[in-house]
Amino acid sequence: MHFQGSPNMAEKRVKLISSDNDEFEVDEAVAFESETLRNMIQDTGTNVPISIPNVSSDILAKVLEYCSYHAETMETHDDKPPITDAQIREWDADFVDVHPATLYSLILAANYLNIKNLLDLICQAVANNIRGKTAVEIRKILHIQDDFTYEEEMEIRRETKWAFD
Amino acid sequence: MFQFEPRVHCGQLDLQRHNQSHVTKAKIRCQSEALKCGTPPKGKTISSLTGVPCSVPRTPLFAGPSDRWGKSKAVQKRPRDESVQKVVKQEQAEGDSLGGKRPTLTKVCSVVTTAEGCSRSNSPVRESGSEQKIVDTSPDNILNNSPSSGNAAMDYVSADEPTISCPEAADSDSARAVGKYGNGTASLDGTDLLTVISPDDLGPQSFRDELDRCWNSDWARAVEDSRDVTDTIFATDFQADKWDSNPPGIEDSGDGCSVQEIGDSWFSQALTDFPTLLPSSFCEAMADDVPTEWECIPEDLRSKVLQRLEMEDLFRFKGVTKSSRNHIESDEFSHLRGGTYPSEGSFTAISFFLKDKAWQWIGLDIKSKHWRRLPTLSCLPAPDFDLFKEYSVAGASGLMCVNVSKSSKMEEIVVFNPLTGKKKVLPPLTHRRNPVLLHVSVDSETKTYKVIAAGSSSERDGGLSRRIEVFDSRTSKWELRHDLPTCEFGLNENQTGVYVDGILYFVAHLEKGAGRGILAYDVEKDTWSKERTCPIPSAKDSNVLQLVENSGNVYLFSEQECQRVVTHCIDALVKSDTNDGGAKWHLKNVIRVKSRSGRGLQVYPEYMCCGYGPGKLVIFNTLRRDGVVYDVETRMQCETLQAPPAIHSGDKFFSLNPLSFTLQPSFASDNLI
Repeated sequence: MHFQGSPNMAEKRVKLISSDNDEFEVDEAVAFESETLRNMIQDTGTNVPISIPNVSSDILAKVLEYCSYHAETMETHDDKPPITDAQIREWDADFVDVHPATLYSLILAANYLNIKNLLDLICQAVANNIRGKTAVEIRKILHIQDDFTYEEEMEIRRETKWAFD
Repeated sequence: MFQFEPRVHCGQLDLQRHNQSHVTKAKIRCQSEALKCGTPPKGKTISSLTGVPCSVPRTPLFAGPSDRWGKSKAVQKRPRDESVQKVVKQEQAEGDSLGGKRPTLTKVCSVVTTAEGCSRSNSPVRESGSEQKIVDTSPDNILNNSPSSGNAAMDYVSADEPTISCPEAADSDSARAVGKYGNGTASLDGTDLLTVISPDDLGPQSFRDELDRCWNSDWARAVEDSRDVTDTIFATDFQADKWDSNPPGIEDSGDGCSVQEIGDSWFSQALTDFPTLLPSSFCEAMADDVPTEWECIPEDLRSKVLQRLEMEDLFRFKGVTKSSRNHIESDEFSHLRGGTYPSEGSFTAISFFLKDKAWQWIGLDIKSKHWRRLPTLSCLPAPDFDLFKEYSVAGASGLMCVNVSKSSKMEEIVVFNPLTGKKKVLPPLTHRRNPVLLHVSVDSETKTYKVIAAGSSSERDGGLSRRIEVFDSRTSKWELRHDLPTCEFGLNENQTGVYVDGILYFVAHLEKGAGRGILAYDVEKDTWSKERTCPIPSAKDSNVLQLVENSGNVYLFSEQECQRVVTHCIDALVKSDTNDGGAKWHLKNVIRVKSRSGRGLQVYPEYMCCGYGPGKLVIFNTLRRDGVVYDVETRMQCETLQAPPAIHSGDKFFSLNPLSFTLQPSFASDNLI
């Protein structure tokens, strides 16, 4: 008998290949954090390496780091106290403390791999970066260029001035 | 030529070249003792800086002012092929400037700079080892460099224009300079940071075109970023006129509002007068013209990020780029946001003020217990401050309804979403008049709303004063209903009334000669409920009678004056069974407190009552904008409401009616309109 995803099969490993052809091997439970991978694994099994063509090695490593930790938090060990929500929050906060460019790549990866909690976490982190900032500061943070004409700029300033008071 | 002893010591040197575009940037930290120890002699300008390696585009973009930079007519543009000018401004210590002396003095001098790799064939170049250098290109083409290798130096030479004046005060301890040379900019600020930026690969004309295209916003950007001292100087320079009446406060904001303070007049003036002057941030921005990671993220994912922003951040984000604005103003985003956040907060104690010629407002967010500004009501004509009280304003859920008519015989009723500005001008009433009662109610289940207009404020409209009409968003028509069961002009106090379970309650004179009471109108059935009609025993002693709804209950707030003692009362409208098996409604006192302040009759009413979350009501002073919160269960005072900070107020402006409603602004309200 073969029960996929059952505790007995925890040792089962999954091979993932990043866009730059690096191979990653993780526990099935870790890969299952991703809905996309879960569907793929359920379709093709774990024998075939799964190619993830639009996620680079460094980003995939980061994603898998997240998945491993969160898969681990789901497990219960008799000898260890369970990981508390506060600990998870702290870990998550550390995890997203990276360069904005990495966050954007992570958003795309989390979206593609369909890891809802990670996507929420990253979106929240980007939002936190924007919070309380002026339009000028946001442009700097997000590296985007102002494309308003003078009239448009003045208009939008008048309209949104209240939000700066 | 006057020679000013150079006493600027070189400090840190920081050269960088942007990869993505043709901008070279050098930053030099130096001890500008020359500037610190005093001001240049009268009639002189700073004409050269040395110590920075440079080749010099000798293309002057503008010439200096005559006596004050802030005056546009004093500045003449010069042909582009003249020498480059640099403007230096000497500021007095702030104490001095506040003390009534002229706070600023602007100076013009020529500065030429070059950074790494941007030498030009026809430019005078001075090399000093591998160090950088700034070379003078004053109009008469005199090079006047201090030879101190490795040091930054400043020379003060004769002014190019005889009209240039000098600092009166010799004790200024900070000097700042911002310059424009050829295609680049140079700036020296009071914190000893010299920034030199040159987009070296752009020809003069294409640079100029580029500049014409987008300099404005970059100007705005430069000034807005007031933490960048250099850029702020632009503002203060140009603001010379305004400084007279408005001493330097514009630098300390750090939140972007300084720009807008000076925005319109200043920018448009600057646009006319200094089309070629350019802040350093322009060049920096040019370095970033490749799409960034943010822009590579699909819109639905960007939406996910924006969904997590507070209302204020969301509106600020609209000002980032055109696409961000379009994104947030799109119907899809409104829909999504309205789904995630059914409301942006629950606001009570709403009050209005006029600022920047626009209709502004503020409310207390019941959840966070903080005062929060709400989006400027720019979709409506700004009230006329001279009238002090102008419009009737009603609100419910996320909708507002305002009668913006200025005529007593006509109405012009607008229903709008105060968050997005989406609005609908309602068709004329069957009987055109200015109603006394204006009410809006929202049915969130059917996504419809009703507007109720009753009474007339024109004294000649006796017949119309008992009319009541109901607008239904489903039919988009006004419907004339059964007249008010009162005498003519029985309804004579501007109010919104309160709406509970399909019944609209409001205060009116019940019969001719009788006192005021609470009338109850069943909006669905078009009937006037006799059993709910309730006289107000204290009416004849009351200056204010105002209804407020809380947790489905109706309360009457009254301000009673008896033998010069002013008392505030809150009574609940309660139902009791009668002997014949019927029901009757009567008032039951909940709160009775002595008024804390004397009557302030310049605003009527000075006090009003509004909700403060479930089971709590606040008696709110509309002048001071503070209040006391009462718990209707315990009948005790439970909190005090502090007034909002002074920055949140401009000229106070009042609606005709007390704003007793609680508003829950929502992007989803667009669906109703």
